[in-house]
Amino acid sequence: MQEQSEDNTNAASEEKVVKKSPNFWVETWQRFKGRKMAMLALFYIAFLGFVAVFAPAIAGTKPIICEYKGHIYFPAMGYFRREWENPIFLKDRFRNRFPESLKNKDPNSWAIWPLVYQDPYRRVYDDEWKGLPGNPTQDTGSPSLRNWFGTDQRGVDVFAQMVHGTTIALLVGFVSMGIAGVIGIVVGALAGFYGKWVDMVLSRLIEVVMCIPTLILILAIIAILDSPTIWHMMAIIGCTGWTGIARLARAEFMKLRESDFVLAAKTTGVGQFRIIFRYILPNSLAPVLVPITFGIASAILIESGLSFLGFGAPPPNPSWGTLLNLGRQNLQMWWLIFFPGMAIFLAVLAYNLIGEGLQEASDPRLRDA
Amino acid sequence: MFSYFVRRLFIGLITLVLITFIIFGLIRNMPGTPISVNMAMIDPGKELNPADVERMKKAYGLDKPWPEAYGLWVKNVFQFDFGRSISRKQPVARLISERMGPTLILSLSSLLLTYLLAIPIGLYSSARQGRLDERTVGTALYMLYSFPSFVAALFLQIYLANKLGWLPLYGMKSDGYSSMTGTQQAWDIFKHALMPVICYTYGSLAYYSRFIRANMHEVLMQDYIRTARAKGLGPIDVLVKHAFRNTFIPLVTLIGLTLPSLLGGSVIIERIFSWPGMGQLYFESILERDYPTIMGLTLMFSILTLAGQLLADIFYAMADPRVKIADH
Repeated sequence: MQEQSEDNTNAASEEKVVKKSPNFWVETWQRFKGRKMAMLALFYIAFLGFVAVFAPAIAGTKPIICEYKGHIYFPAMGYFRREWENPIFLKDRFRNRFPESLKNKDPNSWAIWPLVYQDPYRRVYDDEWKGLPGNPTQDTGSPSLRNWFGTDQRGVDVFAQMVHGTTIALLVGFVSMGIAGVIGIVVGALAGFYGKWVDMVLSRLIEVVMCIPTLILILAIIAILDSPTIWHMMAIIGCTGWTGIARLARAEFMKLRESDFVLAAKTTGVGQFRIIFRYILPNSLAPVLVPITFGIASAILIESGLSFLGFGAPPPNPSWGTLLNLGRQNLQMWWLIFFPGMAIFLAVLAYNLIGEGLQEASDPRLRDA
Repeated sequence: MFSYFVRRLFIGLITLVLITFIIFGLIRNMPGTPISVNMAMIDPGKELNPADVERMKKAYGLDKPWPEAYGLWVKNVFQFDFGRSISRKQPVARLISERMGPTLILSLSSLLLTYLLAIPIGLYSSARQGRLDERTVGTALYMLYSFPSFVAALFLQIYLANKLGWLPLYGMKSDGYSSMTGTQQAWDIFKHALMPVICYTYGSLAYYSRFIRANMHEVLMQDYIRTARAKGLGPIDVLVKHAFRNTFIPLVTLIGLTLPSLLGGSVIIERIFSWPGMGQLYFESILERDYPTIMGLTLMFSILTLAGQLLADIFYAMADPRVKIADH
């Protein structure tokens, strides 16, 4: 492997006389690619992303595409946002029973259906889909051919809930750590680059935020808000979870501001703003990505933990943690715990593996190991 | 050293004031007061007459705006008066000390278990670096490290308590606890504590043994290890006496950082197992809007976190003569 890649770069450098030395990013990615487990984890996250984007096409009771009274509609888009479902179905009193209503109201209609005819929000009734029996309710809904992961107490399919809950699990990680990343990098960059009293003040800020327990902050803010949504939660997780990132960014900036290329930039009269964001930041981003990836894992844990305690996304939203909470109320229904539990575990594991891969790929001390 | 210590203490004090101020403001702005929440819980139909509400508000300092009430709280804390819990009608200090015991049972036994297991596992894996058995153990530990503790708690409850019936599902004591003999009481608590302790331990076990292995890996590449081997020392002597002793420094700093979690407990685990510890108290006091208790707990956690960081730095300087704390 190693020799081969060297050959490639040799070949490339022969073609071009002047070749740019590979930047830190390219180098890190080269080394990251060599780690099988980390790459596998990356593929798994990509797979989850695919599931999240195509959730309505995988499990749902609304057609992906249908022709109704001479027009083409995409009712499944209603799963993303209520308003994206064409109001004609509301006006024509479909009552969310698409198979029956389509046939009765327009015999010429056709539709492409999701892979699994199950709804994440409600129970599927008898004969809703020709010959399909309704979902079992109470604690009788163990996994079966109809309901792969079983059903909850209300008779809602667990597989459908988990597929649609993937969106929340992924969004929580990305959005909250996106916020945390921006705050952390800016605070860390300023503290590390300017040092002196700026560093002193910002370091205290980091300490204060570190000491504030996330749980009390989230519970307090959820209590203050009239109608807390999942977005508020992401914002709060992001606003409390940036300290690790800031500390690492600070250390990186402290190290890099003394380096030759920064000195060179300073002597040629490059502005401070440009030095911070165009010179130092790209070179410190790979190590800073490490706590961000680990942070995504812990954000998923916090979200599912909060939903588990009953403080998560408001009830109709399917979330892995909410399913766990349902299962906790009746331990006989092991499928309500096993499947979402494993989903949370695998997502956290994947992010941890990616984080570790990045750590080893971006740490120059481990380069030759 | 001394002036460094004083400076750190001073900075820590400022940080402490900031944290408590923010938390105080936040909880006082949460909708609902301890009195209204309390009344709604007891009997939604029963209304307190306005004069009584006023009297209670005055007694607990709820009639003042929160910055003023915060000043009062700080003044009392300096006289070691942490106030009385509004919903439990008990001094906060006593309430916290009552809950400390159960949390310590879990955290101390888990810490002990972690060290007892993690050190041999860490040494074993650094001795067998790269072999098949080491890689298997390493992968298993990594999986455990990523396994959410509340999911593990539920799995344990389903299997050990519900299916096999070996262990009680939750709680700390059985019903007839007071009529048991001493050994029976200990056994009873042991049975109840087993599942929560497992949940606390397995994650940190994985973390610590990986941590030890990583540090050993670094130390084993040093010249003095080669010298020791060249002298003809046995592999165990080299590993334990020469290598492991030199990995103590990072281990010691880690102990300092675990200080807050030792007393903090875990809200989720304690709630799943209905364990009457600090985490539960925290959660309940937030729901009950019990301001004095929340503030007492926040103060304790913040002091522990800051003290843990300071201790880690001091330990570090004491354990490693190469590190000198500069006076300036």
